[in-house]
Amino acid sequence: MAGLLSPDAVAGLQWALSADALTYCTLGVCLGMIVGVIPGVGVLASVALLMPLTFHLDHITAIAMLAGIYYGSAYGGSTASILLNLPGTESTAITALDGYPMAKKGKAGVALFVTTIASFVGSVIGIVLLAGFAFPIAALALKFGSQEYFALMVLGLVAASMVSAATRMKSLVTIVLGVSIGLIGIDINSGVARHTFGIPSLYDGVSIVAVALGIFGLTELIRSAGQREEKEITEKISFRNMLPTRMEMRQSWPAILRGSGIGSFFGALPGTGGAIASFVSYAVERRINRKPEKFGYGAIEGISGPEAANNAAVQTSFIPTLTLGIPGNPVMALILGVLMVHGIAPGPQFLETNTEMFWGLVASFVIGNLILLILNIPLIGIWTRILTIPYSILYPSIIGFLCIGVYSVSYAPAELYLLAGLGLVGHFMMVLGFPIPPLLIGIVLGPMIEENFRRSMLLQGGDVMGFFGKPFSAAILLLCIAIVVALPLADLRARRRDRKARANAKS
Amino acid sequence: MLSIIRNKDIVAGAAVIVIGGVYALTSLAYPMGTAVMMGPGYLPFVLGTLLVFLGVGIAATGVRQIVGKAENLYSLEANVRAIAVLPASIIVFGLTIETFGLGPATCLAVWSSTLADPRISFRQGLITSIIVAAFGVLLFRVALGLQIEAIKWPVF
Repeated sequence: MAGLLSPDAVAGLQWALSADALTYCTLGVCLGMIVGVIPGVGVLASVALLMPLTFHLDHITAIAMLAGIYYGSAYGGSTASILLNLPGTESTAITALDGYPMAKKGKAGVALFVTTIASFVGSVIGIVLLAGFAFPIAALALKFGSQEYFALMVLGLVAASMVSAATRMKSLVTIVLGVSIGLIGIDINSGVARHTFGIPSLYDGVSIVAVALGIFGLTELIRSAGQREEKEITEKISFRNMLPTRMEMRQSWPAILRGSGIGSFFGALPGTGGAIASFVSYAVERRINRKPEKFGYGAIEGISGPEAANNAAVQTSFIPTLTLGIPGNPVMALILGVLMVHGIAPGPQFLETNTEMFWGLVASFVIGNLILLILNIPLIGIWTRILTIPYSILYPSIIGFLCIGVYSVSYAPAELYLLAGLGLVGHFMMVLGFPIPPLLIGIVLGPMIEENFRRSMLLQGGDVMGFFGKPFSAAILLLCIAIVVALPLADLRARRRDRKARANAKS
Repeated sequence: MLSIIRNKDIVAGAAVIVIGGVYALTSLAYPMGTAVMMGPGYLPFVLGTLLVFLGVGIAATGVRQIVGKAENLYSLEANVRAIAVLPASIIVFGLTIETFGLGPATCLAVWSSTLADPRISFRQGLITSIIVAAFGVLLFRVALGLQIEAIKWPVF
């Protein structure tokens, strides 16, 4: 493993402290916080919105900035949850359960302070794990052949489709549809243009920018435009009593550490992420607490644990992306997509040859989190003012930037028509109950899955069972099969028990 | 009849069957290859077929709901104006960008998008669109050096 004091690590730190890197890192985390604070502008949409800007930067600065948006939004999201009972992002929804009651009791300042600390500690633990595990995992992954990669990618897809709340069949459709869309474009093996309908801008595949902006950005705008009620902040935050009491801190610490552990675990797993991590952390805190009845009425452990979990998960989700090149969640898929547009295929080889870039990213994550720690509390006044920007100004502005952003990447009006169409597709998918985010993972993994599948089948002489000939790929694929079979069975059993319980209640 | 075409799972299933079917059938135009040496049509055909099966499965749950007299209707979850206006405003940008340049195209797109919300006054929409266009030109044209004129005088 490359040590912390290796020349590469020092060079990485130097890069992270350079003026350019600092500027874009700060820009990223601040933008992240803003979009995190504003309910209804999701992380995915905002990362997508800023993607076009990053094509004017070199790839590592681009990733540092996009990552900043991602973890910055994890900080900001809790602000809206606490002050408005309106989660700024999906993964901070849990924080509203106890954060908002705290705010109503006049303890909004304390809640914001504790969540900031919890976020920071969670992030740092996540970053440490990222730094520690990246190279060992990459070393292991260097031994992987196409079969192992295929198995891991299938696991990524299966996990992404199985954890979503929508019905499993519909999630599976989203994933398969994503892979299918990913295959559009010129097939690298044969040179045949597949499903391009003769449209030149589809030859390179469906543009990830147009997909992300259409399906996340535009779809979100269509849903909320002209519908959203403006919500007022009734809570006055007094900055004088921001500091938690010693008792509150003592209650928070164990929760923060447990949350960080839970978050780190779920962040690194494919398919899961901050939302699930914070949910599990909340459940754990409530279960082990001596007074579970105070949860929901402003229990401080109910905000510190989940916040730490959410932020730790954000950081560790970089582990599979950077070491294997397999994104564990949609935001990571998007970031991976950006790297691929820059002509970089992340994975063990890339990590081994670009150690400096890896340490640069790690250093910039630490710096970004420090900036967030320092900025979050003094700027709460500004964040709350941002919360009051009316949606009627916000959404037309976002439309403007969607248009310019997509055009600036391709200079092709056709991409805008694609964007408009994808927005509608996304909307009707939502209307019909299909989960949208897994689509992105499918699109990004699609070409890679096909490539590895083809290569494996060639090695195996066309025998599908060949995947079970290697222990690692066999284990992973059996796990996938177990997930696909076990979860619907569990659903069925739950439904049956439900029915029985209802029948019993009737008689 | 209405309960059938308004049923969420039936419509979803049917849509998936159609999309998967078209995808699989159009894949037949490309060389299929064999399992050992896969052609470009192989995986798309497999995926399309898989989609059709999944679609049938989803539609089946819908049929079961109708037989069981359970309602599972979809709703548009947005105001109808937004569904029509927002994609249209992006198309407006696509149609005007190469003729009129960045500023006017952004202005038109942003202004037309304000039509999605009847509560936005003409004045507010106009002001928003001018500010966004100015900011967009500054950021993308001046700061980032996008290769497109800020304002282009159309030649007819």
